[in-house]
Amino acid sequence: MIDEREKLATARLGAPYGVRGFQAVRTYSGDTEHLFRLAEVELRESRSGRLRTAAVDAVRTLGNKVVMRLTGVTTPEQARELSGWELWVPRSEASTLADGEYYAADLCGCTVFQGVRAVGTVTNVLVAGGGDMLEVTDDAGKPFMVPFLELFVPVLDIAARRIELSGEFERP
Amino acid sequence: MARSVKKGPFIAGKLYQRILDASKTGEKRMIRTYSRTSTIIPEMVGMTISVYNGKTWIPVYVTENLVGHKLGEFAPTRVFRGHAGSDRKAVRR
Repeated sequence: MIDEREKLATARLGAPYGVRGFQAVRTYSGDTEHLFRLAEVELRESRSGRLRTAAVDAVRTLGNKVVMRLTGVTTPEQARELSGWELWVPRSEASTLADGEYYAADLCGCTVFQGVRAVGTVTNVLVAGGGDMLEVTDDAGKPFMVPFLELFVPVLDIAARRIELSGEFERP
Repeated sequence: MARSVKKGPFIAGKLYQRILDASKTGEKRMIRTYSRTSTIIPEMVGMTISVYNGKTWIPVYVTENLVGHKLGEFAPTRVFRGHAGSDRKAVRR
């Protein structure tokens, strides 16, 4: 049994495609290569909390779209029932990270320090025009933004859940 | 219709003055502005400008490739919360 924290939601199943049980897949990371390596996935429906496991039968690309067929799903009606369910996979099978890339899920919850003082906790990772941004919430519940740049965030220890801001960063 | 070249890029007068002062003195302090419509000019490169998004100030670290854009483009006014447990990635530049 894999630890819950070792799993990540990688995609969401969409509308049926064709008459053989295929359906569209939309990934959260924007990458699609890892979908072709999946053998088994955990399906979760966020609204009802239902979950089940399913084997991946086939994955195909259609232009810039990816469609997937799960074992046992052979008709568009069966595929429609799974529309909106999420695909959860072990971390090792999720979208791969390049140098300098981090999962937003790992960054959220990290404690942010400036010097020796804890200034807050990362609550969200935003995509702004100039790059990614960390939303840090302080003890009073007030959020502030930190540009996710080497200049402002020189130390990042995911294992210790610790982020250190440089002296260059000044809270707006 | 594009802005006339004769006029040059728009930048709020007060902000422009503070940019010039900061570049002369080499001061590294963040400059706060409400002027989202001001154009990013080469003098701003290397500075961090806090741009108001209607609720809070968003720090924008200006690099060369932002020159010519408006400050407001880098201070989003809507927050997309996304999926907390997904494999969405963030890049540290």
